Amino acid sequence: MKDKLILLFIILLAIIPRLLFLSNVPNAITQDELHYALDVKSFQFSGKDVLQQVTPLDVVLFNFPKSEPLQAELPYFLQMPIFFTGGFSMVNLVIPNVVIGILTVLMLYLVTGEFFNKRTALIAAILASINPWMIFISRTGYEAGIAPFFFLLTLFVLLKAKDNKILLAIPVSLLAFYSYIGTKIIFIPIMVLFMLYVYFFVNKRKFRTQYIAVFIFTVLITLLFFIQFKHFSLSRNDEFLLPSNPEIVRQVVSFRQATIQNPFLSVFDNKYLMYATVLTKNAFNALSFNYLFTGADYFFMLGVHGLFYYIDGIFLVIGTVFIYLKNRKVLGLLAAAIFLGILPQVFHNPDGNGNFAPHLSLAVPFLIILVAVGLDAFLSKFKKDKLYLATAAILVVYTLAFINFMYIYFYKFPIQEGTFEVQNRILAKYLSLQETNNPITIYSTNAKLAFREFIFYQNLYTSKTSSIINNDLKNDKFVYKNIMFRSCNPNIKETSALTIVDLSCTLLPNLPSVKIVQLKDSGNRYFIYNDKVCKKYGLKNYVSDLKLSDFSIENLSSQKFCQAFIISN
Amino acid sequence: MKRFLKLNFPLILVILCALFVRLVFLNIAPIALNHDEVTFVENAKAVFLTGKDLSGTWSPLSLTPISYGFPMSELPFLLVSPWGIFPSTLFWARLPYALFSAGLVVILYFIAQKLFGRKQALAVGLVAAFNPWGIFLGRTAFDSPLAVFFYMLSLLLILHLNKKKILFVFIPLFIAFFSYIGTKIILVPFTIVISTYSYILNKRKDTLYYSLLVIATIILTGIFMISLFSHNTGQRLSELSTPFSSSVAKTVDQQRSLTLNSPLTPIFSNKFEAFTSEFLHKYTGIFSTQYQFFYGDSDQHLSLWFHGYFYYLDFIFLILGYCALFTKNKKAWVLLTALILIAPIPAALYQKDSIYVTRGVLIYPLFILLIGFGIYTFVDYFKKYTKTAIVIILTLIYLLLFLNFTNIYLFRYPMYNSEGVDFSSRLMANYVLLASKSTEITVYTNEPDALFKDFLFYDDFYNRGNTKIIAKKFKAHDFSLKNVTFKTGCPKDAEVKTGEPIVVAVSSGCNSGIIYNTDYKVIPQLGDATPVYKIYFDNICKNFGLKQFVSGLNLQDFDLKNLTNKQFCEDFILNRR
Repeated sequence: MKDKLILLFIILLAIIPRLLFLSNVPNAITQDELHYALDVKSFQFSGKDVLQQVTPLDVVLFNFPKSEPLQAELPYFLQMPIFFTGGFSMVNLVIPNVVIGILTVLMLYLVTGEFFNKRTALIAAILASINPWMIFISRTGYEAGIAPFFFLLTLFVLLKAKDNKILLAIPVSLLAFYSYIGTKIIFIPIMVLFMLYVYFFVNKRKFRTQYIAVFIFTVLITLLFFIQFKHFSLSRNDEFLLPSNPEIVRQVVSFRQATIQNPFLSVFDNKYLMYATVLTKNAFNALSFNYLFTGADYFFMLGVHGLFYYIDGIFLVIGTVFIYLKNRKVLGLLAAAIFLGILPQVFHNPDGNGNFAPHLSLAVPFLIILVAVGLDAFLSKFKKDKLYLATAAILVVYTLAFINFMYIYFYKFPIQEGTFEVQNRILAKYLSLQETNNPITIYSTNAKLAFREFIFYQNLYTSKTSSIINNDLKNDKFVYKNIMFRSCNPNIKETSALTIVDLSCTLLPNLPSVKIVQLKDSGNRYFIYNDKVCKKYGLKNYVSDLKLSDFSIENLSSQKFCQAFIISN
Repeated sequence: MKRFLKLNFPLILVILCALFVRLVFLNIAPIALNHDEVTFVENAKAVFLTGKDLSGTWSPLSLTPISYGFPMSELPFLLVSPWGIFPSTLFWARLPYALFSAGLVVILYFIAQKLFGRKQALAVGLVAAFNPWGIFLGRTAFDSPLAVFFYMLSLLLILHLNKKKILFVFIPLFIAFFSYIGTKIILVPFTIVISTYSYILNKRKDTLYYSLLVIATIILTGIFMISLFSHNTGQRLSELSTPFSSSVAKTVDQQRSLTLNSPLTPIFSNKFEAFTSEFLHKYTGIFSTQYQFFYGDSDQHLSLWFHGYFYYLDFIFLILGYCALFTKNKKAWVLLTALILIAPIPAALYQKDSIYVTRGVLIYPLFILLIGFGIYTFVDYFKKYTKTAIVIILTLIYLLLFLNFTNIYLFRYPMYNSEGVDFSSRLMANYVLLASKSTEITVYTNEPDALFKDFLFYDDFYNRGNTKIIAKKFKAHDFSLKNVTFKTGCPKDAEVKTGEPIVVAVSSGCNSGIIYNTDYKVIPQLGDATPVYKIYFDNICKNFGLKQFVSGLNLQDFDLKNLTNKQFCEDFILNRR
């Protein structure tokens, strides 16, 4: 009963930071998150994607909508129940990830419980519920947020199943395979790792036939995907790093040019060695203490917080040492899983510098298990009377760290200009305030994205408009009623109509304008010419005094919106 | 003798390896000394010849920082002064530092022998001998490796001494304290940790002597802190970060301007939070795998940029060694953990960007101990024949990694980062020497004292006969000798009209007057031929076919003294593009 109550508390602990202010932070959606929304809605109204080429069944068979670069399959289906019953909104977009993020906490509890005692499992669940990365990614629409759950579920099924029930791993692992494009390249090795561990150390070399069956399935599904993948026009295969990558070749050439003549030139400065060096660099970058605990990357809050808390780092070290002492087989499994978890990033970046946090998402739960083991080992050093004191001290430190993270996330992250950019959301709101039917033109460096985000933020994709919007997208026409989104054009002319121009397009210096700016420094992003909506309010010269509630942008009154986000200088 | 060699074969092997990799090509690699190194080397020579620095105003025995120029550590000038007897060449200048570096390898060997065992000591010794940090820093003339040498010597001594002899440990601690300004702050915690460990190992005897040792270091640090306010080291005190530093206040202001309005702001964004956050950020930075294993420091004087201070494979053995040590020797594990936790403190308290390779220098010998232990544990896991095979495979892998490091260090580093060692100043000194044989030559630069020291060093002009003259010149800020003058500012039109050779540092920004429209040749940085010095009215290279880019260099080309004028000009002096 006590354990169940604790588990309930952990679920609550997981729910709160994942649901709080969900429509306000993150302050915007990214192109990657928008990927699924329109197609899912189109499936609802027409049974096919926006280009009217692909059905949901096709997606299952790796025939993807061709409007976007290739992404994973499962998110289409996870978003269907939400978008079929509700419209577009910041909350609806991320609800599937939020739910699965909470389930991941539970799954981590179950998996950890299979290797260690209940206390370690509870600690792992608590750590997962407040882990900065897991909270962050659960509050986005990124597929990286759902993949860990399905991989952990696969591991759990394999750990528990005996005899023919082992075959249950086939449908479960299929979901894992469908969950994230980034982890497809490690699907076979991670399945082999899980099965080898279970076969040798859990089921003691029994049920070989069933494991072979699962293995054959694993290979077949991967082969099927890669056969389809090669034929897909936007296949992203240039994102898989090979020695022939132009960046690798460029680096070799530049090194050879700046080297003193010596007999080892071709031995040490060739593309294979460079390739090996870049892969190793990527691996080290991903596991860098600095990266994990201090600054992370531009995707994750621009380096102001790590994917973990500082204190996690201490327990990670203790946990590693402890498992090394107590159970090297589990250490081998966890270390191998962490290593495989970073491979999507290792084989992605040809520069050998920096990380993209979503590519590492599979490594995070296994790192959390190590941290939990370390924390449990630390606490087990105390006897009963001092245990309460030690637990209280740890609780205080983690509470402070958690509150600090939450503060950074809710109060600093929305101002940053990183992966999430709020300008198109502000633009969409501004356009929604126009009450006349006069023509409005928006010139943008990415008119398609601005248009699609406008449709999303204003929830304009309905049964009535879907066919028109689909048709427009098919013909690369980005028009909604009197609002036209166009690519930058050197011949933009001064008119009396409302014209909005991206900073990177040709501007109209002779016309007075108000601006949509970036929040961190009020740097211009869109120039609004012939504004009639906001000019009647006293606009500021730069963005200041924003509050968290201001990021419920769609619900702001026109005065509040203009005074908060539109600048006159 | 045979028995001695047989008994001490591992140690002899380690010493030979350490010496070989630190001494081979020492006369040409690195290809020059940077300004700080020249300051150490030339002042050490002055200490040898006169007992005082170049300006004749400061003695290292005063235990105050050098008074001429930027305050630097106190004792290195004295420690390497005996080498002042030798001519000023790259080899002799770096030799004492290389020997100290090799000495550190030996110290680590004996520490490992005491802490882990004899076989483990061989592994540690070999790791230390071939460690990139040890080789790279060991072949420079910087002070931080000297400090770490004496810190580790203290550890070695305290592990072996008992009773009154424990107090002898104060000698290396004292030298360590005055050898490098960046690690003074760790003297007390370092002494407490090693004394406590030794005390426990010594079955809790000799309490008095251990306590006296700790008290002595506290007093030494206290006296130093008080003296800070009376001499020029005080200006370096402002480099330390505290919650009350102006830089922290600035950070808070910036943070607040980039935060949504909230009643929580004063709680979460204040000086103490900013200081703690920055401290933790810098403190943990030392454990960055990118920093230690791949890129090294961003400071061009202290890193190869394309190689870290360890080999990639060391990472695995570092983790393994750390875990394995816990199982095999918990006390040693606690000792090394405590020292590792102390090591980043100076870097974390430094206001500017943390330079871990100098301010966190203590971490390197500690990591080397753990890596060596990790390798031994790994090899020892296997039995007889497999063990031999593993040793061979590991040796081959490390050999490849070492060759890769050597390739970067010897053949690439001099090209892409020639200014990391101010190579252009060496070229300038060589050019000036050649030109001044027949005519007067003036060099315009923002740092005439630094270039004057370079000139004295590279052209070996400082000797017993002119120490007084040179001292006078330094005091009078007159940086001229024979036909050569170093000045600040830009050449005046009247000087240009004389047609005598003039060298102007590009950083002087002389973009007006007749000089601006005068044709010139270039002393470049090697990697991309960017001009560092412009040579006007050249009388040395004008008759040779000069290139537009530096290319096709061999290692021997960096032995400038043995090049003909033609070779020198065609290799290193470029035509204006």
